Amino acid sequence: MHEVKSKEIDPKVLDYRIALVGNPNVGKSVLFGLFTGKYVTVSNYPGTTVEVTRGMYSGSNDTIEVVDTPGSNSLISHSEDERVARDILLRDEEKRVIQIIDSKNIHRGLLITTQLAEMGLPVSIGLNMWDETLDRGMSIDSDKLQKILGVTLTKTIATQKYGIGALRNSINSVKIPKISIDYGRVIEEGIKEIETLLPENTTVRKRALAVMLLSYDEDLEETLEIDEQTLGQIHSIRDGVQKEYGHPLSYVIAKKRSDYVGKLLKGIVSYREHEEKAGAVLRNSFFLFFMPLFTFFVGYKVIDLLMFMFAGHMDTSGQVAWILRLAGGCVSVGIYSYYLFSREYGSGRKVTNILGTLTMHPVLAWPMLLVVLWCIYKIVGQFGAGDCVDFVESKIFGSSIEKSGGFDFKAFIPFTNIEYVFTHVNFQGINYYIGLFCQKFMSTDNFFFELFMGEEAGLIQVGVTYSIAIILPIVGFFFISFGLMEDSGYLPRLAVMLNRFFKIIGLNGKAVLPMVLGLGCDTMATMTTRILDTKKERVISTLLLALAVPCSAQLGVIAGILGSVSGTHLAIYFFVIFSQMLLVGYLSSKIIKGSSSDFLMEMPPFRRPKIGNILMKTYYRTKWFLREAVPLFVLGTFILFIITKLGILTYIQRAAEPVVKHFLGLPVETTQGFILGFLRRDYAVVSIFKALEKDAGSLEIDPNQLIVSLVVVTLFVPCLANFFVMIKERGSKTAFLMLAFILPFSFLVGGIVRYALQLLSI
Amino acid sequence: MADETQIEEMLEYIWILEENDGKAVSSCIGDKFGEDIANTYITEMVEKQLINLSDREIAFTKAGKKRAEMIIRRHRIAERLLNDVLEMRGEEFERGACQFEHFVNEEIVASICTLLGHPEVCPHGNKIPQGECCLSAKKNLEPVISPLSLIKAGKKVKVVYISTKSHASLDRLTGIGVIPGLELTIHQKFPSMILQYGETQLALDNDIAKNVYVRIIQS
Ligand SMILES: [Zn+2]
Ligand SMILES: [Zn+2]
Ligand SMILES: [Zn+2]
Repeated sequence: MHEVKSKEIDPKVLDYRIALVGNPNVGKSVLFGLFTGKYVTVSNYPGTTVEVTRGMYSGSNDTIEVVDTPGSNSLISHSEDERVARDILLRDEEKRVIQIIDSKNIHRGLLITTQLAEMGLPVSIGLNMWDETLDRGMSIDSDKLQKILGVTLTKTIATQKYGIGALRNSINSVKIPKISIDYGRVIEEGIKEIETLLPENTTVRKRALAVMLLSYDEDLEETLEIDEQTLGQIHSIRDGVQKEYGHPLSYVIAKKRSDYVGKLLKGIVSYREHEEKAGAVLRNSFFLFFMPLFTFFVGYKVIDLLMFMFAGHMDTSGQVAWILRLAGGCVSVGIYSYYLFSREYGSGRKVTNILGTLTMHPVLAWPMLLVVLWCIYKIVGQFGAGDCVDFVESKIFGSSIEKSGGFDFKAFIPFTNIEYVFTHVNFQGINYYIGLFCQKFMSTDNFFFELFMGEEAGLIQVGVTYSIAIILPIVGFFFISFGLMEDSGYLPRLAVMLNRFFKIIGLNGKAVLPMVLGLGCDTMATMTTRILDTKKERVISTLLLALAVPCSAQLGVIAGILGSVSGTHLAIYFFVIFSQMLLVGYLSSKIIKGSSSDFLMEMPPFRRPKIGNILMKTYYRTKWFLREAVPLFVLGTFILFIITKLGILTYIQRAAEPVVKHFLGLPVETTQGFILGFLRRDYAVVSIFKALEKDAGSLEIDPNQLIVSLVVVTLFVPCLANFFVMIKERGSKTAFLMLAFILPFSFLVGGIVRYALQLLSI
Repeated sequence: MADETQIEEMLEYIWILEENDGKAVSSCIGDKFGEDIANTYITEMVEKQLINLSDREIAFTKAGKKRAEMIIRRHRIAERLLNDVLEMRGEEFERGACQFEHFVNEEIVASICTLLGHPEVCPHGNKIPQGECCLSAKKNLEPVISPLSLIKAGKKVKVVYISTKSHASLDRLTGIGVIPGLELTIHQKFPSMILQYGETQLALDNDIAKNVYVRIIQS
């Protein structure tokens, strides 16, 4: 698929636009993908941080653009997303609306329909997730509803491409829904009065605008560019109407709407008495095979992780240890089975619903959470950030000067030590060939050769290679695991689990998304802090990401190195990082002005994720990430190149010596690691490890030194790319303030940890 | 008797001034009731030892405070009754509440209060002073209507009213269908509260749940 960063298409060329409208999580983006083929653009809506996707409607003779509006529960704006969705509908152009409704939540969907009708927009409705509706024993008389509303209703299941053709065709028969709500005498009079004050040629019906203005929609006042005087009149009309009611008008109006839809749906929606029972085979294999196996693994792993922490004090590979692990597994099977058989086996609920409840259980969900995180770490941190990165970096890209030596194409036979080599691939690395080519024109110590292919800070050798070779596998694997969590419905459950914790640090459960993303890459996570509701929350999460969330590039290397120290030291490391996150989060939630928002989130049902959709999403997200991040990494490399060329690096190193040597008790050479870490965080860990190794000589590295330096590096300023994103998202003033805080703070904590370890004589 | 009514109206107003601004200044009373009337009655109230006047600032005496509290309580209980049960709105609602407070006795107020489940805030979001009935209800048995945050997991409840202090979260609640009359089940309370209604599961903070008042319909 192609991606064009074109300017907006000239409306004159278009026959018309289609706006996709709907509540959050109704499957809009999947349908969007099915409607449009090539040429998709993602851009920020002017003046906002909300991203809007556009694409050309495929398979039609007319030139039609499709705009995917942000999911919103109301077209009266309470959030930036809702404002953008509404403003798109207000634009002056010919447009048709396809509204997507999650049919099992049809009531909520129709609330939006009433607003579209008020605006006078021609609509066609897709009743999506029809399969889930049937699963729940819910039935909707769509023929009757279609007659009442006077618009085409199409049953769809977007994930299975069911009903897509019919929904596409319905775009030719869009109509304004036959809905008219009587808000009561007082409000109706208010509406009439406001209508007379509105400018002549509004893009939608004045009644809709008047209702929004009565609902305290202040963003709309801005959008409509009403002059001060008229605004004053409108406000006094509104205040007059408000006097007649005990509740805010926005509430009264929403209630009227809700009542209207409720009446409309009487006799249209009905429920069967019982949920359809799942197939006996599937059900029994879930209870008798899958869950025991999984819960055994949960118990086993929990004991295993616990023992790892005390590895210094006990033999983890001895017989006792194995018996403990197995016992842990058995106890876990016992506990979970007891719960499942006493509560769920006879209930006849669907397996996915049972899992949905279990993953939010006050007690039983926690061990499962631990194991899920461990699995993600294995896939992303070890396989992605470790093996894959090594391979891509050293074999695919390689070095501009040395041959990589090629690699074997081989297969392992599981559970044996046998590996079968098919063939040896004699590929010396992309950079090697580029270097070879360049050497035809210049020597390796030429300025330009160093600029592009230099080992230390060459734009291609380091910048491009780093951003693609290192980031791509990590981000790719991370997005796959992330997609699995998202599509299965586990991610919102994680928010439920962690909400209380996030409350302490001034955020709420919603922040789980950027924080978990931060474990993949902080740069990317900082970009997604936009989804948080208030500015304060965005600032706090940006700060915490920069300070205390180690990205997977780092985690991979840290884990490798920590393998050489005891689990106790690992526990100290995590304790320090975690406590600093709590401390700084708590304090900044007190210091930073502004308000935090309350946690209110709809739980989507637990579902079996569709692999195709996840791969599709991963592809789009990775592409998005590369586009945003590669230039930043290259720019960062360029700055490093200048710093090395001018010899500033040695200067900084010398200046930092006293702190590093006397306060942190580390060898001077580690300073370079801290500075280089600013470019690439994993590099810092490696170079510090090497410096410590050199310092220790033939002796073992002092684990305390290692912990101190790891703490400093983790808390230290994130990589340069992350810093650029901080500037881009939060403004340079905030970003530099954070930098000024994090720099001394990380060294301070490092010093404290050093003396604390000495005091406790660990 | 007319005098008493006027005095009660003034005590009520002084209470509201204190509630909003932290103090009551006699000039405010003048603005509302007219200088002459204000002066006459302030003097009379001082004589009756309902208020103390120092440097134009009015402070309740113990007796005055008790009397004012009673009137405020009646007024706000009346508001709840007119708003929630009789669904009166606008002028009718305001006038009704104001007349109500002057003729009902404490006994009637207590029974209305019990009927409504000892509400804690009026429809405007202001605090209702507690009466005997509220205190004993708290001690003895669960109130009939209470905030969602206090109800145990597994109960089925019906939303009676939503306190309207903050517009933003109220709008978000109505947006996803939580409005008076909705029947819902409390699925769990830890680690976060989860509500179940229809096909929707909703996770929410205690800070929001505190403002949703419900009646238990099935344990
Ligand atoms: Zn009154
Ligand atoms: Zn009131
Ligand atoms: Zn009471």
